[in-house]
This record gives sequence, structure tokens and C-alpha cells, in this order.
Amino acid sequence: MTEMIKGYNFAFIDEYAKREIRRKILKAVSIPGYQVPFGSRELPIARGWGTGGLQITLSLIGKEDILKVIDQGCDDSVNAVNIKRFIKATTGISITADTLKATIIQTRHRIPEEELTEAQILVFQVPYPEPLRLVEPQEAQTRRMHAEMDYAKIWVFLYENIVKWKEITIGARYPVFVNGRYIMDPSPIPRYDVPRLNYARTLYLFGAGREKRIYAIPPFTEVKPLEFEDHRFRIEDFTAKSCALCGSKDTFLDEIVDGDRRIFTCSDTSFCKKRREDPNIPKSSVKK
Amino acid sequence: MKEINFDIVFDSQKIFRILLNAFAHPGKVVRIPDLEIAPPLNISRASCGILFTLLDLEVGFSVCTSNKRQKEKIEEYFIINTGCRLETIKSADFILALGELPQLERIKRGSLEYPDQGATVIYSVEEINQSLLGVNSISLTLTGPGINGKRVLSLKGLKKQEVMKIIEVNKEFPLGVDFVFVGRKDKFFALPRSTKIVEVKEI
Repeated sequence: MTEMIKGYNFAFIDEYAKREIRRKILKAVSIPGYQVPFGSRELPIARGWGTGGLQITLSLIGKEDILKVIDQGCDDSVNAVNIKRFIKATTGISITADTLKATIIQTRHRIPEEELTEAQILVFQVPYPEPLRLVEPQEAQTRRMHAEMDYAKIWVFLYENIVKWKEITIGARYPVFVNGRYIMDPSPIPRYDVPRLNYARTLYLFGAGREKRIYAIPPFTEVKPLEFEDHRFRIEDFTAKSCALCGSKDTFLDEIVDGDRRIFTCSDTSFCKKRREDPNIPKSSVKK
Repeated sequence: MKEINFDIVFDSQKIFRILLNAFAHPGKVVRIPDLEIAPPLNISRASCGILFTLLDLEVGFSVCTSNKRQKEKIEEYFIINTGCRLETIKSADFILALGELPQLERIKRGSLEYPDQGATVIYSVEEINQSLLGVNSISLTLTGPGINGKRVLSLKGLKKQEVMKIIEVNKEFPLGVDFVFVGRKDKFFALPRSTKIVEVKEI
């Protein structure tokens, strides 16, 4: 695919940068949901195009790793392809589209449909790491709010949403409560993916390059969407809809508008491909 | 004493992944592959490997041992190999504890705004095992993020009192200290501050 670039360190960024990011990742895992500041480095990709996730991936990756990169569930869109080419060119490691074969998956705004294992790591690209930014513009204030667990403002925001619209209007980036301590932005994953953060088997790492933050959800950690007793969190409704390509009824679907016609297809392209070959393939291959 | 056989790029990467796996699964006993290094005195290669992976000129480091001459020799070894700064136990980001840590209560635990500034302690003990060890050992039962239900493991060379002190230091989450316990045969496990020690048994 791409030739190795010569003259750079393995995985592009220098060892001092990797070491700092690694130290920060360990702190992030030790304090689930807390945003650890880090010195985000310059990369040959513009900030806001996945540089946070990319720096985490580059600090994790070794010669034996197999990498998958997705952009909204798709393996072949521009952002994913560029990141894959870049990592391939600076490490020489192998790339896959198969969720189950990958050891590290870098993702923009989706969790793959197939259940991940304890041996895998999912790296999220995060545009806005601060869930409270919605209600408080100042960093000094949001930091104090997290420190004191003063989350009243966001609860009021959600309440006002319900009063005004009879619904919480946050679609993607739905705020979650991690380990009973921190409110966290799960990156702009759809609501459909939010329950899949709870007690997952996989380590989730989040990197925001422009905003210079790293945070994490370890495996088997309680992650709850914010909800009220009389107004429960709910996911997108795909009742009576199925993928036009593979026929799946239990996956997250993208709507495609073509003139007057509206069709739905799986957002996870690699899993859709598998389902087209074998419609009965399950989402979870983990024995329970 | 410069370790020329430690590969800064690839050995660090391998060790970091094992370390990350350990932090993501607190109490899970893991091992570091054999390193071709010759640490002074009898500090374990696993402790050195972990510290080589994490230390550089940006962080403060301190060694905790009652033997002053030993302390100087070990500190010199890490300065030569990592370029780290020396700090007191109170202000260090990373602490290597050789079997004892009398100043545990004084270690950095971070602030509520920046809990990540709490220190990391590499704590060297005699032996670590996932299943029970014999007499004079203690067994810990852990719960918390990264643990599916409960996890049990055994240690030798750590007193119950010391474990009680660790519980005390980490009782104000998110403030706290993160620990890595290293035993013989390059085995280790992580005990991040998010982990609760629910039972300590002396055997």
C-alpha cells in the first residue's frame, strides 16, 4: 500500500512525547472519566482531524500490532484512510478492516458492532472533551465543577430540554456518568453506542488533540447516561427498518436520501460486509 | 552503568503495553519479558524496565530505602539511564520503594482540580502470585473499575499495616497514589487509586 518513510522515529512522534502520553494514559486509566491534560504534539494532520486519537495510537503501537481505523463506522472514508496510510508509512505494521483481527482500533464516532475483547484497545478521536462546555464556557469553572462534583448546571440544562421539547435534544455526545464520579463526554458516538460503554470488556481510551486532553474508561466500569427517573435515556429508534445491503435489523443504520427515496444501510461497513456473506453471523463471539 | 541493551523504542513500547494492561485490570499478575540489563544491588529488572519506560527529565523521582548508600547508587543508575530529576518523597512523581515506605502519607496525591498529579509508586515486595502463597503471606481481595466482580491475589513481603496505610491514602478518590507491586521473577500487578481493597487476610 504505502512505502515506509525514512528519517523519522518509529511511529513518527519522538520518544519523549510518547513517554509523556504514556504517563498520562496510565493516570487516565487510574481515574476513570477524568480528563488528563497533555502536551498535544504537531502532526502532519491538522488538529481536529483525529490527532488526539492518533497520538494515543502512536504511543501504543508496536511491530506486532494489527490496526483498524474507522470513521463513522466506515473503514474507507478519507479520515480513516489517511490515518491508516500515515501509521503504515511510519511503522510498517499491518492494517485490517476486520474488527475481530485488530489489536488496536482507532475510531471516529462509532463503536464497532462486533463485541470487542479484553485483548483489544479502542481509541476514540474526541473533538470536544468537556461535557460541561455546553453550560459553562470557562475552563477554570468546569475544572472546579468537576473537582467539586458540582453538576447542577448540566442537570438543569437537561431538565429545561424536557420542559421545552419533551425530549433531551442531545443526539451524539450524550453525557455519561463514569464510575459514579465524573461526568464525561463519550465523543460524538450515537446514543445507540452509549450503553455499550457500560461494563465493556475492552479498554476505551479517548484523545482530544486540539483540546489537549486524554481520558479513559477501563473495562468493567460503570458508565451511565444522564437520565431522570421519569424520563429515561433512550437510543435511536430503528423499528421496522433494516439495512438495504445486508438486511440487518440489529445494527446502527445510516440514512441515505436519494431523491425521494430514503434507504438505510449499516454504519459499520466491515460488519455489513460480513453479514452479506453470512446473514446469521452474531454480533458477539464472546462466550458467556 | 548505562544500559546499552535496553531498546528505548521497542522495549519501552512492549513494557508500556503490559503496564497498561495491568492498570486496566487491577490485581491481575503479569510479567515483563526478560531484559538484558544489570541493575545495581538487587533491584528487579521489572522495576527498572517499568521506570525506564516512564521516567525522563520531565518527572521527579525518588528512591525509598533505609540504606543511604544504596539509595545514592540506585538514584545514580536511574539518572544515567533516564535523565530524571531527583526529588524528595514528598514531591516526587515516581517513587521506587524497596520493601518499605515509611512516608506513605506524605506522598503527592494530587489536587481535586488536578488529581492526575498524584504520584506513582513502584513497590518492590518479595513475591506476588494470583493464587495463594504459603505462610507469612497476605491475600488481598479487590473490586473496582477494571475488575469483573472480585479479584484475589497474594503477596509476600508486605505487612498488613502497610496495606491499611494504602487504603487510608487512597480513600479520598479521585485524590490518591497509584501503585505497581513488583515481585520475584519479574512479576507485577497494578493497584490504581480507583481500586478498592475490600479484604486483607494474613496467612
